[in-house]
Amino acid sequence: MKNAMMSVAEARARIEAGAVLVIAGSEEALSSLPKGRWIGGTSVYFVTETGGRTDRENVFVTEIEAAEDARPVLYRGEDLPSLTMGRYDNGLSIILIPAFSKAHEAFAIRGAEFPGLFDQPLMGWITGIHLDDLGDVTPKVFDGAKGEMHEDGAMLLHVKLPAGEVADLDILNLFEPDMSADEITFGETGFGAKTAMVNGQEVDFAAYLVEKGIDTRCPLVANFAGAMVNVSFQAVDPAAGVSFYAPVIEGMTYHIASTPGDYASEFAARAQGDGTRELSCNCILNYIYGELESKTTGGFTGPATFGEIAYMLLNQTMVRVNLRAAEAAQVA
Amino acid sequence: MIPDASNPCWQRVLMTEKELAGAVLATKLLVTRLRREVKQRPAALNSKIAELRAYFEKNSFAVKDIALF
Repeated sequence: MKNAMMSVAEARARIEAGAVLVIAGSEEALSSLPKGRWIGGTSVYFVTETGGRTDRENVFVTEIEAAEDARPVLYRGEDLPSLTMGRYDNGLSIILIPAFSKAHEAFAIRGAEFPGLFDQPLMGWITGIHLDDLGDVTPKVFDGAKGEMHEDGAMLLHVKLPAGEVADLDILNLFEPDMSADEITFGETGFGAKTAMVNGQEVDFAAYLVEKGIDTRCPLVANFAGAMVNVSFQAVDPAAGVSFYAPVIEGMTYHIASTPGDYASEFAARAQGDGTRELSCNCILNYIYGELESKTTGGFTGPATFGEIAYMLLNQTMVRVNLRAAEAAQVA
Repeated sequence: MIPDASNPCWQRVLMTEKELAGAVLATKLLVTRLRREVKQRPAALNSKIAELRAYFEKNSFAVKDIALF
C-alpha cells in the first residue's frame, strides 16, 4: 500500500487511472472527486510524514496497489449486520462510518455480534469534522463508485487480494490500565453511564470522577485477552451523567489508564514496522491531548479520526493493516 | 488440525480469564466476547464452543492460537 497527502487534482488523476483508493479529506475536497474505485470519509486532521496538520484543501490517499478487485458497498439500517457479506474469499474490508450517526451507535454496540465479523480483517474509522464546525455540519462518507455522499451508514470497500497475500490487522495502544486504581464495571452496555460499580459498590459515576480528580484525558481500559481496549471520556456532567466516545460493555472490567508520557515520542518509539506501507489511522484525542500538531510520530501516517475500527470500535488507539505473503503471516 | 469440540481446551479458554499473548487480534476479541456471553449464560457454553471452532475452521491464519488455550 502507498500513502500520500496530495492535492485534489493529484487524487483525481489516481482515480482516473483506476487505482483502488481510501481517501480522507474535507467534505468540499471529497465532493470534487470523480467516480471511481474509492471510498472516502471526512476528516481535516492528519498525521503526516512532516507532522500533524489540519488541512481542508488536500486529501490523504491510501492506494491499495495489490488489490485485484474492489467493491464499495453502503450498509445501513437493517442491512448493517450484513456488512460482512459481499467480501471476497481472500481479502480485507475497509469500513468508514460517520460520527454521531445511527450506524455509528449500532456498529459500536452490536458489531461484535455480526455474523462472521472476525473471519476477515475489518479496518477503518469513524469520520469526523473540524472541531470548530461541531453542531453546524455532519461527518460524511463517500461512495466513489456511485458518486454519492451519505451522513449515515457504514461505507465498506471490500478488497480482493491476490492468492498468497493476506492482510494483518493490529492495533497500537499506548495506554495501559493502572492496576492499582479502582476496578470499574457497568450494569449496561452503552455510550453513557449515570452509575458504575466501583470495587463492587454502586456510585454516581460523574460524582466519583470529580471527587477522585480523575484525568479524563486518560481513557478507561479493559483487557480483552491481552488486547487493551480503550473507552474515552466525552463529557462528565453531574446531572446528565458520563458520556463516552465508545460504549462501555456490561460485564467487562475497566481501570483508568495511567498516563503514557509524551505521546509523540512514545508513539514513535513503540510503532514498529514500515508504516509508510500500511493503511493506518489514529485518534483525534491522541492528536489533541498529545499535541501532535506539527509534531512527527514516525512512519505511520493517516487521518486523525473520531474513532478507530479494528473489527470493533476503539478509542485513542492507532489501527494498522499491512499486506504480506501468507506464509510469512502464519509464522509471525 | 482443530481439536474436537469435546477437547477440554475449548472449555478451558472460555471459562478462564487467561491472556492470549501472541494470539492474533481477532482471536483475542472473539474469545473475550464469547467468555462474556458464557459468563452471562453458562448454558450457552456448547454453542459458544461451536462458534469458536467454526472461526478456526474458516481462518487458517488463526489456528496456531489454539496452542495457547
